[in-house]
Amino acid sequence: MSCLTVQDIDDFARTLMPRDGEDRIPLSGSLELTLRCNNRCVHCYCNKGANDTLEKSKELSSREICHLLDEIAESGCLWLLLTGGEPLLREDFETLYTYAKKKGFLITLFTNGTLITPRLADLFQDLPPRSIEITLYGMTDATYERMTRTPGSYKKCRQGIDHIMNRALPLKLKTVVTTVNRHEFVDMKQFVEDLELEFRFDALINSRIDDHGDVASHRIAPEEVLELDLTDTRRGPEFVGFYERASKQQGDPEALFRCGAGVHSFHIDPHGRLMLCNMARTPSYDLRRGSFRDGWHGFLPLLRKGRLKKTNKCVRCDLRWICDQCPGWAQLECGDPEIPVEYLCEVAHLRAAAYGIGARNSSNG
Amino acid sequence: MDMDTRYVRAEDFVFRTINHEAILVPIKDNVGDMGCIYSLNEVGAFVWEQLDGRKTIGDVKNLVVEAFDRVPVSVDRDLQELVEQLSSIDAVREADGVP
Repeated sequence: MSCLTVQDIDDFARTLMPRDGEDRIPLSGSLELTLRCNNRCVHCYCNKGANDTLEKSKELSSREICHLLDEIAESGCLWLLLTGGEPLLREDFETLYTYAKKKGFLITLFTNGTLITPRLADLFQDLPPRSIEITLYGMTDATYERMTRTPGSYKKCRQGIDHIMNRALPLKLKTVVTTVNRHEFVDMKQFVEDLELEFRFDALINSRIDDHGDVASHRIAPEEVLELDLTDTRRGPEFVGFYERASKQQGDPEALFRCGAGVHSFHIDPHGRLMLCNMARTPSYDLRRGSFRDGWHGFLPLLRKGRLKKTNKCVRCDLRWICDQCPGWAQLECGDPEIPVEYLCEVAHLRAAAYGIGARNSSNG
Repeated sequence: MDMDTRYVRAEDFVFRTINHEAILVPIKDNVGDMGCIYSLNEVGAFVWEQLDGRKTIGDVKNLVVEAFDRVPVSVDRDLQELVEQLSSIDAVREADGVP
């Protein structure tokens, strides 16, 4: 009899996922430490000014966040994403990060990298995160800073990457492709691959959570999205495999939410609002007035019970499994969780045609 | 194994129970393997909680025998193996001095 077994974390994750009929468990959570950011990216869905004092005054205090970390650890959360805005803008970031590590979370940090100092990198070396994910916005000062609208940000980002690389920390570099930086996509990919890191990209930019700015105008055309997909040999098999697995599942066709949000994951905003995910932000549960346990067990299940009220082309569409259409996207884009996002529909149909997916019953894009 | 030896848990591992699974999460780079999770069975989790630097391995064995209905005849060997495994990843160390 062995009392101790060693498992790869990803294998362990698979054993933990609740199966049909089993209890929901908040295994994975994302925590926005702030919506403020020192960059002002053209495509961003949530950023507020770095010196926005009103926004800062609404944020959870250090004490409130530590209490929240106690609660979500107690509830069974293992994977924790610290994100923003720019999470490193918080003056108490080191305190919060250290506290979260000592609770035993496996932490992923999303950051623009510009505020990573040698001191902070040393902390990450001592208490390593599961991964640090930095978004590259370009490979030249001009392009990067047309994206971030912040002079000097490119150089700071590169310095931040150097601090992480010099300590051999688990770094992932990715980009969001827009009309502004599309022409440097190949250079970004090459840069990341030269560092012997995996390069990831996303070109599907969702709308903002407020009405400050038009991010949709920075989206590349659906045909360009497909062009980029085709540069990555992993994408085709991923789409096909995902489609084949998902389309065999016996999901409830009338359910509004078909993803894992609220089943094994959750999102908390900087004001202490518990929600299904970073896009499906309303309604939400106020963790300043109630416990995480009550929010998870009492509030989120009610949202998960939401039913489709309308008939639209997505309901029976065979491509819904590879389409990014979801209630969160639709709510942000159209103000209604059930309205199809035409941009996503076009992308899904192009991908389906290119990869030979789902000819049985797809809507007309 | 010397049954009078006392072991103490390292603070560089966090003991957690996730969905009824008892696990040890390494939080520092110099201990264990950061890409791994260490799962403890029911006896292992019980033993982990007893390794407080005050109880000897003999004490821990007696507590295991008291706490569990079906203790295998190999309990001494199992306990030794567990402590060796925990020591090898620096999750426990021999306690200093007299408690």
